Amino acid sequence: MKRAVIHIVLMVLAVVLFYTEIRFGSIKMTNADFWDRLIENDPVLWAFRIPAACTAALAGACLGLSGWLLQTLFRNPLAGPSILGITSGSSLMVALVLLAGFSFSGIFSSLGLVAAALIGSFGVLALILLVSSRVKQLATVLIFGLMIGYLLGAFQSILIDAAGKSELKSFVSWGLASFGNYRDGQLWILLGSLVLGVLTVLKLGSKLDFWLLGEDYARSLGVNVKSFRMALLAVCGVLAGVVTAYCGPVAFLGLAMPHAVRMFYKEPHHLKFLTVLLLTGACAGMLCELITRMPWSSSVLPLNAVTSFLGAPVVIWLLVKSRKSKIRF
Amino acid sequence: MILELKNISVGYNEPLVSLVNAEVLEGELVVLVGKNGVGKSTLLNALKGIQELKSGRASLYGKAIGDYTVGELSRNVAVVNTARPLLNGWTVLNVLESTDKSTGKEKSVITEALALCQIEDLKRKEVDVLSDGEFQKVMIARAICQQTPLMILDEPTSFLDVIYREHVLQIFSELKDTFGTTLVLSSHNFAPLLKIASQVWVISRGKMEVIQSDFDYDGIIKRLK
Repeated sequence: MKRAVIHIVLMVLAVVLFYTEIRFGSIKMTNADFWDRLIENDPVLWAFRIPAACTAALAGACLGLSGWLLQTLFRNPLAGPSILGITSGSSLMVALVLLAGFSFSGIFSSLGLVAAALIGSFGVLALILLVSSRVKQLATVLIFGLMIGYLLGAFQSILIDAAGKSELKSFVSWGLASFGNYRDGQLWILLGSLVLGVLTVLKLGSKLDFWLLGEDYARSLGVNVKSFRMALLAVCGVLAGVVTAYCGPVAFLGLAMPHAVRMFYKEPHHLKFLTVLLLTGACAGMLCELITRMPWSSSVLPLNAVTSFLGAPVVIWLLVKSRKSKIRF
Repeated sequence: MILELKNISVGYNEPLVSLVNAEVLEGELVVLVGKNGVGKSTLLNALKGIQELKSGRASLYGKAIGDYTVGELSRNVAVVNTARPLLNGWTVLNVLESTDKSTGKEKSVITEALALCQIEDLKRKEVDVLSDGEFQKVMIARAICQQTPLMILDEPTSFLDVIYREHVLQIFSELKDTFGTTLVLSSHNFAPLLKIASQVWVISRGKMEVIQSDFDYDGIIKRLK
């Protein structure tokens, strides 16, 4: 019963947030005007607010899913999409385009930054998968990801140091992330990644629960350790990579979302947790986007400032709570 | 015969234990003893199908363990080890249910395992707040829920106090006598286990000796040195 109530509340919240997002903004409109614009395919709604709201909902769900699966994979409550170095891969490639004037030809040229970010994140993901297929210890993969992140960060700082003022501004603004820069096909690709993530969870099912018991127990319960690891890494990488490509390196949402859900819904079984996580991720994404746009004013806040304001307290809460309840990290 | 080891060697770069030969019948309890680092866990890992053999053949019901898929092994071998995973928010019942692969009928398995391990009062408790001893019993109950003919336990009595240890011995006795489960376990506190053991495997100086009867504690200690 409780589970059903939570689902209904979250769905209502999602609808309310979606409506608020598309109804209010810097261009003020009356109620009648709003419905007219909605019916008449008005670009303010259909080219800006609706795609931004959908992007926020999908990206929130994707990041939540990626963070949650990574926390399961590494059995570490502080794992998140940024730890694998995937975000750094995107950042470096975007830095190459924006700061060093690197450009793509052929089919990639029209996609510009998105193509750069995708190539960067999938390049790092391929490396991570290669390492994962060769080492036994999962911790090694984690450390490898972190080191790749530092290494790519070093290249990036060299580019930043040598860059001009205006290029630097556009790179910093990409790094602050946004759900508002809509590109053709973006929603389908985000949706496709989310579906891939959901199908993976459904396919793995209770194996995700077994995994939390430790590799030895998981194996003895029928989990093929190698393919399980590869599948989760690949899916988490795709989810984080695609979101970073379209929205920039969104901070905290992936890391904090599973914990935010556990504040009101304690469910150890992955399959039962999934839908609540996705709905909460979508709501959180839309809430952040709404705060970012501050519909009551004409200015816009950086997305990462908002996600960190909302996400950091969740992680602090987690740490304080873990001290009380003897949970070890 | 459930388990047969023919001239097997296990180890990493260099073999730790060589030329191991043993036969285990259904319902037997095997106690594996040896000093730290002699290769007890490595040998158990080979039986679990995690560690590849350096040579020889280890078979379960006549089929080489390496030829089993992970799924097939999960239906035949349950394991208990000393690891203590972080199970944020899981209750004891959640842990047992995680092993419960079917509906209806197997619910009674959970009840039975809880009763056998005398942990009914813990079933709604969060696993992370249990003592190490209580946690160990929960993991034994979990392995029971898996309902496999063979159970491999690495140091299952290591965190237990005297009373708990006595109780775990009763659990092992009942598992082998009533349920016909075969148990292979390693232990440093093996003295009380000798009362219910069917075989003792002693690893020393890279070799393994199988003792089938008349287990003499002092004699085993001498062999270990």
